[in-house]
Amino acid sequence: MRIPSFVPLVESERRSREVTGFVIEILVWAYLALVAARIIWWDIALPFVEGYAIDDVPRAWAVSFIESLAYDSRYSEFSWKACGIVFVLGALIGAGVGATGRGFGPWVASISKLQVNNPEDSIRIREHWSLARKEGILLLLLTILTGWVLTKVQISKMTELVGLQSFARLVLQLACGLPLIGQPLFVVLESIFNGIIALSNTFGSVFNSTSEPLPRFALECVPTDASYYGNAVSKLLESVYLAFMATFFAVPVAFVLAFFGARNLTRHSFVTRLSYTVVRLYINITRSIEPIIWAILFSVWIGIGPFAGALALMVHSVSSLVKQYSEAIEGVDDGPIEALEATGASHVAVAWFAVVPQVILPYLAFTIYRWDINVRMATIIGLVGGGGIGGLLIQEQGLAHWTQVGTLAALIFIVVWTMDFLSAKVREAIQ
Amino acid sequence: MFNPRSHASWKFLAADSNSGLVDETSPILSINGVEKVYPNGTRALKGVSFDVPRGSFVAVIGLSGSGKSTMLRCINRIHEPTAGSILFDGQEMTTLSPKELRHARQQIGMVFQHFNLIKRRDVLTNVLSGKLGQMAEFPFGGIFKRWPKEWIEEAHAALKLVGIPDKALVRADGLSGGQQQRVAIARTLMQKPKLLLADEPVASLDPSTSNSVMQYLKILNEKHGVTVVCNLHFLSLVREYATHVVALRGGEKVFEGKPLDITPQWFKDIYGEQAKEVEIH
Repeated sequence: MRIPSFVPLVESERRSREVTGFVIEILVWAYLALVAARIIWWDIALPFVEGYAIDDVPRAWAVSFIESLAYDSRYSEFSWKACGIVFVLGALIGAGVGATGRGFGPWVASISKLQVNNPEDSIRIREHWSLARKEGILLLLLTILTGWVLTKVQISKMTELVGLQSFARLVLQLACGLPLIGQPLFVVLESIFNGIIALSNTFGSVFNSTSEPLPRFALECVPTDASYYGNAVSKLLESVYLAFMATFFAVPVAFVLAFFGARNLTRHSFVTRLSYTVVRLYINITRSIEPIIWAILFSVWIGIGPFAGALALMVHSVSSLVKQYSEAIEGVDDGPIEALEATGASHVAVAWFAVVPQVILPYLAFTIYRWDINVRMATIIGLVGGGGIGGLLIQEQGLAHWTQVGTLAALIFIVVWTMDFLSAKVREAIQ
Repeated sequence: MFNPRSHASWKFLAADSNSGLVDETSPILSINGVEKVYPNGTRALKGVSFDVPRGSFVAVIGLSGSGKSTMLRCINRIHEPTAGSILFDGQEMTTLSPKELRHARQQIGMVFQHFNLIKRRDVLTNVLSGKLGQMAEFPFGGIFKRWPKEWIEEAHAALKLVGIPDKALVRADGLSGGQQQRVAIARTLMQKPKLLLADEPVASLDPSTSNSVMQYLKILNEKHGVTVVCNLHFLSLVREYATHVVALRGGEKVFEGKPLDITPQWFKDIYGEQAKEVEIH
């Protein structure tokens, strides 16, 4: 498990890095073994052999093999006991590889900013880690394979005509809800609509490989009538204002918290280091609880309505903004900070005079983007009783009024696009 | 490690400074066996000792990476020295509490190679920020307080002294390098420092601007009685401006004396056998 001396490491840390590398190596091999057993053997190889065993003409070798294992893909489960055994086996291999000090674990553990001074050493280091690189590639490939199996990727499903047709039908119904469709001036849009229907019918009959004919596609577009827009727009405005309130009150809170959550400003004393941990803990907890859950919590607390939605968005905005703000602070130029510290200024003054001017532009961009996100999220928040256009949306969707859903989506799109346009203009103006 | 002679003089000085009488002949800064080990294990300073006499202009020379910048930053504890003692005006810097340290830093000005101005603020604010040390005792570091009128006048006077009175309301990033360095000098002027630390103040300027910036440091030194400790690269500048020279090599002091004492042999000792002197005038 020794990392050779030509790999540059801070000498006082060499021992702990070696141990870390050894542990990582064990975990990597345990993971590889688990993936190999569970995914390659259990989910790919065994069902493949089973396929031969239960074929119309069963193959004798496959039947005997499957029976000897008592495997049945419908009932068998990969037991925790098997997991444990495989894990231990993998860990043993890992310990063996780790003992050589050449594997992926020691490589990861030895990564440091230190420079190699001797050119011969860098060649030796390259050779030393050749096994580690191969292990790394294997790790990546097996992880992709696992992801593929677990996500149940089935490319063939994407080209099935029935599915495609249902998809097209829904899209057309949504499109029918677009504003202005059905107005005399927009006859062109309607003929395009009818054209698409005709086209998809032709497509369906030409590419149909099954024996039965595909059901023909007939869809009438009944546009949303004008009176519907009044209600929808007022609900939409409710969402926009709700998002604005959430953003507006989140900004000052996040502004203050961000200084305590930035690594480079909290190094100097125990209290500030503690504040860093507390702030990070807070934002990570609140960010991992989705706004939709916050909305449920708040609507239970203060009742269904826009206020609960605004509070939910605010909690989420505070933590997201603190994360972005504090990362902007961590990226500032140290020079002015040093210069002001040298004048004897207090930490607050240093933050205000040396840090704030450097981060004000990124802050503005983040804040506008957060408002944009909040407008879009406000529509979702409505789903759980947070007020705004989301409530209407879930209602129409539940009744399968796809045309109305299309109308609402189009309205939301107009707002989001306007916001994006405005924020681009603002950012341009303040460069 | 501890030099008994300077230890004794420190006690004597400390008593003196309490009564308001500082011994004018004692060094303003006395550095004793200062060591600095960075967290990554680099030993930047390996026990450096030297004295800075009151009113002198000390040049610290040496190759890049010889520990010059670290030395300067250890004096006002922008970087914490690992060991050794730093006596500034009879006060042991290494053991000061954060509050005492802020107070001591008010009397030590600093200018940098890259000027370190607040780029998006105007020149006047940059100059006034030299007074932030005096604001430190107000709540929130004084960020909600207005600058007193007399300070603003003082800032204008400082800008006049460094020759850019017309730039007060220009944003700092709109100035040329030489002008930015003069703003930085005006900023330290606001502190009314006893000691000025200059970390390669002319290394990123052209030769003629370099000379004019050095001239301002000289004015500070001779007319305002500010002791200057300055990291420099060019020996021609050292000979022209400095009264004392300290040379570092690999974190150790290899030379201490007058600028004219640097013989070709010393030069080779400081900069290595292959080095050749480059002149700027």
